[in-house]
Amino acid sequence: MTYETEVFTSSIVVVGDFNPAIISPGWLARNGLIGEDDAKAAREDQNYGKTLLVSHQVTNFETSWFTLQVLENQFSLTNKEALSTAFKDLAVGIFQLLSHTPANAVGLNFMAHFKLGDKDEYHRVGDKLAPKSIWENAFSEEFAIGTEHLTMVFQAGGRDDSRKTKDSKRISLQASNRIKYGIKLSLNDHHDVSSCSVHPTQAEKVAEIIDTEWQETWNQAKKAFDHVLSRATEQ
Amino acid sequence: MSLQTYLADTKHLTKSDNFSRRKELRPREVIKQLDVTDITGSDRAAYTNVSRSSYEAPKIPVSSSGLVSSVPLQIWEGTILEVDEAAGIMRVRLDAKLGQDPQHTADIGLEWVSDQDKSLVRPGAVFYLTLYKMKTHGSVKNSQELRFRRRPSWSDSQLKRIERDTSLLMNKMKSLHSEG
Repeated sequence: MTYETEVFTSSIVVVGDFNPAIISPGWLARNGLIGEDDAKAAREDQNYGKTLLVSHQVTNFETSWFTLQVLENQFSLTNKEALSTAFKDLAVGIFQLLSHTPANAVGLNFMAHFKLGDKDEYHRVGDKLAPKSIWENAFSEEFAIGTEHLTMVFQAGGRDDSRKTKDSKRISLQASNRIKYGIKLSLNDHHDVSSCSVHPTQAEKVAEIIDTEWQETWNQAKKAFDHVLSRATEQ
Repeated sequence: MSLQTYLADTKHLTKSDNFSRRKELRPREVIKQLDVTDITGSDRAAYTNVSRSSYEAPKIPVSSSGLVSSVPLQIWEGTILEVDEAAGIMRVRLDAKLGQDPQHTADIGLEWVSDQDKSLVRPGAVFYLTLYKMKTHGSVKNSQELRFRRRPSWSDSQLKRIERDTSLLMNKMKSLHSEG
């Protein structure tokens, strides 16, 4: 086992109906969710200021520690620097304020890039998780076969059971686009909130899920990534 | 509304009316429809690929720097117990968020608090102290970040709901007391 974690980060994604123009750096600062210095950086910083866009269709801006993008149907908050619980608090605060926003689902996402020992170990992970013997004769010509993207879905209950919930967890594996002989593992913890109506509202439920589940999902991600990698790198 | 219905509905309109109706009927498929909450596979690429047909959506700026190569080693949730302005320190209680480290108290210099968070420094305030490993240009360094918790203040409707719940609870307790 020679892998090493190089990046560990998170994003929170909510699917719903949004009014992107509301969520500006100034609005976040006025409501006490970010500091004045962060709001100023999002507007005026030499680098971050270039990414500022607030419109009816799209809001997009970044500070030193997060990037926020709101489309009409999707809210996406992504951590940039060292991961902190303050990141989750920001998402919770936004949905507490926008408590009547229609929302269908919230995803708590954690991503990690791992550096593997060498080229052989890198290929071993792909071969263990997706054996190539099944694919070898798919074409008459000879090809090198590689694993590009693999996603496993986890849902409560047995395979043939009718689903009582649309909640699910997904673990994805990809080649890292940052590290040579590295891989990227991602966990998507998907919670469906479409059945919520008045008390709590869908947005209040989203805030509650982020507040109570984010830290636990982080712990699950760490354990799951370690479990998969330790098994996949075994000789 | 289908295209046929839309055309039928606009036949009686003048050219300028028709134009204004068209503006209202903004296509809903301007931005790529994403109904899942898993963006991890895309590395945010999907968000910069705005599908354009007849309507030109605003171009979404690409993030200036992207991910920093950092891995959190420990996060403590801190609660301020007291602030000693003269000594320039705050006495805090620290609870580890990762692993099983025991709760402990510490003194942290106020110089570690950013200017924008200074107004939040008072007994009872909660902050997060992250210890992390960062790789930059071939070197590895351990660093720390201190960030205060920020939550929206109570709204009027939330306060009213709490008052209503409290009075309901009080009435129940009173009735239990009188029955006893």
